[in-house]
Amino acid sequence: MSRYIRQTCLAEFGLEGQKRLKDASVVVVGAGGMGCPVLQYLAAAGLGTIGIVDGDTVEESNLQRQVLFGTSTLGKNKAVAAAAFINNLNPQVFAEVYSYRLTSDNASSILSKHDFVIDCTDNFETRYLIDDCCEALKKPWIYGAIHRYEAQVAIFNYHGSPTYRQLFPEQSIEKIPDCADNGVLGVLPGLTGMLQATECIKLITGIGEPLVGQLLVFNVLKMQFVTFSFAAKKPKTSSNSQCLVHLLSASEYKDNVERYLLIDVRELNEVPDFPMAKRIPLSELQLRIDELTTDKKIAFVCRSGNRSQQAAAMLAKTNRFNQLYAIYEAL
Amino acid sequence: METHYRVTFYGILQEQIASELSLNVSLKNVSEMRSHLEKNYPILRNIPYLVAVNRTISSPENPLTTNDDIAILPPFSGG
Repeated sequence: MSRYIRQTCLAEFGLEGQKRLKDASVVVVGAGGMGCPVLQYLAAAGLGTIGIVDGDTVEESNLQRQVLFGTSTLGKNKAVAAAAFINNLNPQVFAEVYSYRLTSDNASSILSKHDFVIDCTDNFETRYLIDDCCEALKKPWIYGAIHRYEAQVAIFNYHGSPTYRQLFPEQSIEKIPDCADNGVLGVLPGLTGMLQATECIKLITGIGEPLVGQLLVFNVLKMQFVTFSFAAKKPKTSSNSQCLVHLLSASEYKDNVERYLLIDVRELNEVPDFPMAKRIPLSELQLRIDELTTDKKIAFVCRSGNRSQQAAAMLAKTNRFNQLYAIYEAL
Repeated sequence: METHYRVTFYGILQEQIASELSLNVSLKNVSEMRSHLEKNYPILRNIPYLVAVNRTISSPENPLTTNDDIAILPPFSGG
C-alpha cells in the first residue's frame, strides 16, 4: 500500500478511505480539458473502476490542455489513449473504455454500471442527457463547465438534491455558444477538472463538505471563487374545486400500477421510457385530450414532478375529469 | 426611498453587459429586478439566467432590500 501512503496517513481519509475508493466505480463523460485531470487524479488516487466515454480522436490543438495525450497519441481515440495512460499510471485501476459518444440510446446502460458520473462534456445537449439519465437512475453527478476565464462546478441529484434541469430549465439555451467558438486557457478546464475530482473523492470517502446544493463559480483572471447556494424544490400541493388533483409518490404508483392509466408528459426525446406509460408531451396534451378516455385513474408522470403537476392542473380546469393524479418524482 | 444594488454578471453576460453594475432603483423583489434588467439589457430576454441574492439563488418572489448583492448567472456550456 506504499502507493497510497501519503493519503492513507491523513486521519480523516485513512485505510477506510482507500478501501472506499477501491470499491468505487466512476464514469467520466468526456476525456478532454476537464476529463484529463479528472482521470489522471482519480486513477492516481486508486479508484477501483473508471469508465471513460469519448468518441473523439486526439488532435494537435487538444494538446495545449488535454494533458493525458501527446504527440504519440495524435489520431487515437481519446478514451483508448486515456485508458493506456491510466494503465501505465496505476495498473490497479480498471479503466473501462467506451470509445463512442454518449447518446440517448447508450446513456442509461453506460451510466447505470457506475456509482458516480462526472460531466466533462462541452455541450448542453449531453449535460441534459446526463441529468435526465442520472435522475432516472437516482445517481449523483458532478457538473463542470467553463466559459472563457470562468468555470462552474456543482454536484447534482445527490440524495434528492436538485438536478441541473431544475436549476437551468432547457430554454433558449442554444443562444449560449459552445466551447469550440471560444478560446480557452488550458489551465482553466484543468483546474475545473481538479475540483471535480476533489468533490468525487469527497463523495466516495465521505470526508469534508461536498458542493451539494451549491454552485461554485470562479474566475481565474480575478482569481475569485464564489459559492452560491440553492435549495431543493419541494412538490406543491394543488387543488381545484371541481376536480381533485392528488399527488402520488413513485412507490404509491408502483404498488397499484394496474389502477392507473399512466401518461408520460415529457418530450419524446427524453429517456428512459417508463414502462406502461403512454407518451403525450405536455405541449400536446391540450390537443390530445380525447386520448384520455379510460376506466382507470389517470396519472401523469414526468422527470421531476413539475410537468406532471402542470398537466394535472391544466386538465383539472377542463372539468372533464373528477380526479387526476400527478406523480411528484421520477419513477 | 431610493435603494441601491450591486449587480455582478457572469459568463457570456459579463461580455455582453458588464462585469458589475451599480443600480439605484427601487425594486420590490427578484421578479422586478429581472424585468428592470431585461428592459435595459434585451439580451437577457434570450438567455436563461439565475438570480442570486447575497449568494443564495432566489425565486422571483424573493424580496430585495437596499445594498443587496445581486449575481446574474447564466449556465456555461464549455469544457
